[in-house]
Amino acid sequence: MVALSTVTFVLYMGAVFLIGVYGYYGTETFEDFALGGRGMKHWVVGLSAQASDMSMWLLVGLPATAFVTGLPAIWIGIGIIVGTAFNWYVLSKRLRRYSGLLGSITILDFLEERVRDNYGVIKFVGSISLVIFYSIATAGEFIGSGKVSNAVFGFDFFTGTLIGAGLVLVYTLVGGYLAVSYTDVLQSIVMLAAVLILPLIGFIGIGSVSAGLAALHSANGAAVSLFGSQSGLFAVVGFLSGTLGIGLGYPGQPHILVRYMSIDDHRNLRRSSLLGMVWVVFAVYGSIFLGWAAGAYLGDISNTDQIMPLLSMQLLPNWLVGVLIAGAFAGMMSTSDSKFLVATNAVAYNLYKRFVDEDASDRTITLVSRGALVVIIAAAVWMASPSGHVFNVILGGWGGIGASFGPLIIAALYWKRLTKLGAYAGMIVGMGTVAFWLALDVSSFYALVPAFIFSSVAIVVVSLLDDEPPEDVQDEFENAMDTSGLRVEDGHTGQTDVEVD
Amino acid sequence: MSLTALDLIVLWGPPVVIILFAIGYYMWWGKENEESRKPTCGGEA
Repeated sequence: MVALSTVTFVLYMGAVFLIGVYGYYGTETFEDFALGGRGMKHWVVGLSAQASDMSMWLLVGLPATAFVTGLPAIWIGIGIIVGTAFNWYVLSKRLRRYSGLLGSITILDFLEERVRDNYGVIKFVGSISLVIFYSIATAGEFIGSGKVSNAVFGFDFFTGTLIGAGLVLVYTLVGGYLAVSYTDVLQSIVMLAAVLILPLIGFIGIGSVSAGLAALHSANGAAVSLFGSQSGLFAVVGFLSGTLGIGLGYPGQPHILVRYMSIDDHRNLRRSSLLGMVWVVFAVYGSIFLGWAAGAYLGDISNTDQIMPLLSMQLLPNWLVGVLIAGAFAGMMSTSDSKFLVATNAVAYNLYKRFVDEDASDRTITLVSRGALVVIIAAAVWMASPSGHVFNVILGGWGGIGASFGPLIIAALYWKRLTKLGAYAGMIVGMGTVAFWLALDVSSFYALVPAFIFSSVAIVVVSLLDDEPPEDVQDEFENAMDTSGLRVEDGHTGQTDVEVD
Repeated sequence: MSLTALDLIVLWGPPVVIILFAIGYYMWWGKENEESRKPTCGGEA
């Protein structure tokens, strides 16, 4: 007899695919495909930005880390909330206005136009960074898929990763921005429910936060003080870099930033931000509390990435377990499809069409895009190892993308003096530092923090050594930043008329 | 075991502050220039 959890899981997946297909038929032009026609409603943008941000990491990786570390995990939550707030309140409106003025459809389009990069260096380096680091992050998602499937459905790890890969592949092929945004709204609601229901029931049984942490400490020795066992300045700074420092990745995530660019009117981002911030606060705290509650019910377990499915099987009715597991897969799918939408478009347009075949037909571009999707997913499956931890692997990819784009995005929106060479230097130094750091395996200090600093310094120093940007670029910057009364009109690029196959 | 005052501030302070800020931004601070930004010619997409 098929378990009720399997039935609810399959029903949920079916609903998601139907919504995706509905969204797909609303897609006609490339601008529709990549940016939802720049006409998305504020509530869709608010929820889909958060859903595309949070992944298996929220439901599997973060609870596992909270379970292992105890109270110090709260610093991670603070880092995420501050990073998300920075994106909504500091970047989103400017990015929407400026990218609309330039008629940019993707983040790489925007950066290229912003500094007039007629050599294609930004798109070339950026596309390489997207493919490498999104593959790494996706490997983390598939590790989660393998471990969760093993705990709930009894599949071996490799079969579980293939199930995850298959779901993501089909889901993304249905894709396009409208499909992704519509399904992300549903996914965001299910994810939030998943990370609220379980800790709520758990802590009702435990009684208080203190009692939960005490039970966790008894079970596995997790810390009950804010800095755990860290002592000495270097240790505390290293610890904070790996927790608060996660927030530094937010300004540089193209799959999140593109959501802000898709809204119908930049003034509506005020509404989206309220929705997005309330969502992220409850989701992140729910996730951390989930990990803290687990000690009282599960004791000390070795495979910490299985905390969420094991706890839900212990505390919830079978049918609801299926919904929560669907929530974890929802996180994986909603994030992966957003990343792949960005990365495969980058490969097809920025690498293939620009450097291989300038006259490539739409059909060829579509084939290249889908080929890139299969290659990235295959690489991620190959990298997914049962000994890996969802939290660490996804953060590796997060850091690489954050360092490649974050400082440059901030400079592009806030510094008129930014030049083309400065932009090149920032991207290459940011990406190179993370790659170097990962190769050296300096795990006591999160790679994103030094990479972000080095990239920022490179942007400033090289831009100042370079000639000032041309007059028209500086005038354009002033115009985009103008808040004196006249509204900025959206521009258009030739790409908006490209038909989607 | 019970959490110290500092633990409680670090635990609950940030979410309370950020949600209050989000509400304030939505209701007041985020509305800057909106009245003066009515379209004078054409309109935004």
